[in-house]
Amino acid sequence: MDSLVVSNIRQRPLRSAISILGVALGVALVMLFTGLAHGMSDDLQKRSSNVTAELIFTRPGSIQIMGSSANVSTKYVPLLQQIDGVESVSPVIRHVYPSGSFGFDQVEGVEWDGFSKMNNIRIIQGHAPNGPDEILIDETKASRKHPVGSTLKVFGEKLYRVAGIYAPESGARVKMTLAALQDQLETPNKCTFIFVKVKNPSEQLAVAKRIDEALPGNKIQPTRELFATIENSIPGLAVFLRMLVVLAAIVSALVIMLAMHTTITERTREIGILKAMGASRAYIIGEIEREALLISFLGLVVGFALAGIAGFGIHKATGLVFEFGGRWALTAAAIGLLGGALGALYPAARAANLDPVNALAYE
Amino acid sequence: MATILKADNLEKVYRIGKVDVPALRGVSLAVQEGEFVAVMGPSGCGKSTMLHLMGGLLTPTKGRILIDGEDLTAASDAKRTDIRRRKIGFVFQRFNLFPTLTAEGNLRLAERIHGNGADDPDRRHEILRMLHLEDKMHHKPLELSGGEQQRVALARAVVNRPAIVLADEPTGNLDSENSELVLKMFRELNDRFNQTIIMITHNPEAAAACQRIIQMRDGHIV
Repeated sequence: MDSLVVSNIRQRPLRSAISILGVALGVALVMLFTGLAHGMSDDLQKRSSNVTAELIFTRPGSIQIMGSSANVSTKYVPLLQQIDGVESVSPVIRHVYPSGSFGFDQVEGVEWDGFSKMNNIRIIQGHAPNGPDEILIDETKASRKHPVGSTLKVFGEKLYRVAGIYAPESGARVKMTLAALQDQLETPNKCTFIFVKVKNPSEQLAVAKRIDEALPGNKIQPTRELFATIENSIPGLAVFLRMLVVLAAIVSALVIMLAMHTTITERTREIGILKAMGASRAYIIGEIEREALLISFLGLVVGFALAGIAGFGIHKATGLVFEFGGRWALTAAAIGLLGGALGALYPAARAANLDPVNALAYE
Repeated sequence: MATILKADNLEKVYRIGKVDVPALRGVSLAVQEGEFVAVMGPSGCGKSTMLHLMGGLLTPTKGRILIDGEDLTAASDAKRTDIRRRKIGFVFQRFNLFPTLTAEGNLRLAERIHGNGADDPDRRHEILRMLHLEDKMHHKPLELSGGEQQRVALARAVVNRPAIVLADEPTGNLDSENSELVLKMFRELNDRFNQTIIMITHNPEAAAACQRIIQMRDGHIV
């Protein structure tokens, strides 16, 4: 191979591999974090889209992505039912808990008959939960080796029997009776929110207004609007992702800078030879930048592969959903290449400014 | 014959700490096109400094150097690099080949630097043939003997048809057999291509192969 760039990379395989991995790490981190954020958000949104109730009645602060509280009294259920335009209501407790491996999971307590009828959800295997130790799960959860009749840990070490499997996916993957969850959380007569189905969907805003007037101090909002803003509702997620991108760019730049700085020191004599041969500053900077860009490009490829493998592995192990978006892939590629190019700039400029006689005498 | 190199009253003073150390004290010389000149003298007499000045790797403290009509001393760093690229070929005592490249790769690199991507395989192969390196084209420096490495270095220096080849003790790291072989190649390049060569050497036998010998002592030509 007669390319100085390629032959240099091949001559120091360990250092090249470490540099490539350094860039790959930054790229993989960006892809994994953004993939996880979007994957989970989209998964939640997809599951929420199967809810057909048009309105959600709740109290400010009771529904969050990373947690929830049962601070809505179920006394509102009959009151809501009396409001003009309301067809049916269904109270739900949503409890968020650590999934035991990585991330979090949710369980919902519902009054199954009313909830399933309101949202067109049916049991495809088994039966509805009859007692406090029985749960229903969706098909995705069931596919993770949880058939009907098996047991699952939801709270601590307590085992719950899978009484049935429901479809389509809707909200939390695990559901139990409202009473069982109230009892477990020691929140009698409380829930997290109340689904409200209106008689005429085109009048949902008018109904919402009537509810707001009849039951002031609470919060009533369209279901679609709530779930459309799931990603935005995670506090600081957008800032976190941007910071992550910046950090990844800095990591890439530093790795490349260090690698190229070491390269320049090792190759001081060779740079002296290049200068003796008449290589201009631009030529020397160009050679070093090309080497950095090639390392960065290889780092990108490895980073994407790592992200894909890690995302698949984590999904298999924990059930977390990854969604690798094209926009973030482009961003990761840009920061990998840009970080590499910028990181190499200082060592390249330093090399280009070496005194040729001193460089030739370098041992 | 035209004058290819002219040096007027060259002085070079190195500043080492707070002490000025003169290396050249007013050297003037002219080299004609096609000449093969040896520069001899004891260590520290200023031979290498003079070679580096003639190659534009150093700037003189005083004096002027013209290479093929172009003033090296008045030129900016970038211009000196450009003159070096177009007019000078260097051969070093330690060969200074790129260890990661093959013999041909080293020549191609010189071509790329010289011609912005120019690739002249005919010229390359002609030079390698002349220097008996045809079967070594795809060998890396560490796979070659010292004599072969120096011949590759010589091929690299002349592949772009420079006006002058500046050789800094090219036989200094070679045994007598390889030294003779390399000197023969220098002579052949000089005879066949009318290549101007200025060669620093400590070896009187090497100097004897040249048309003219310049003796230096204490920063002067004597």
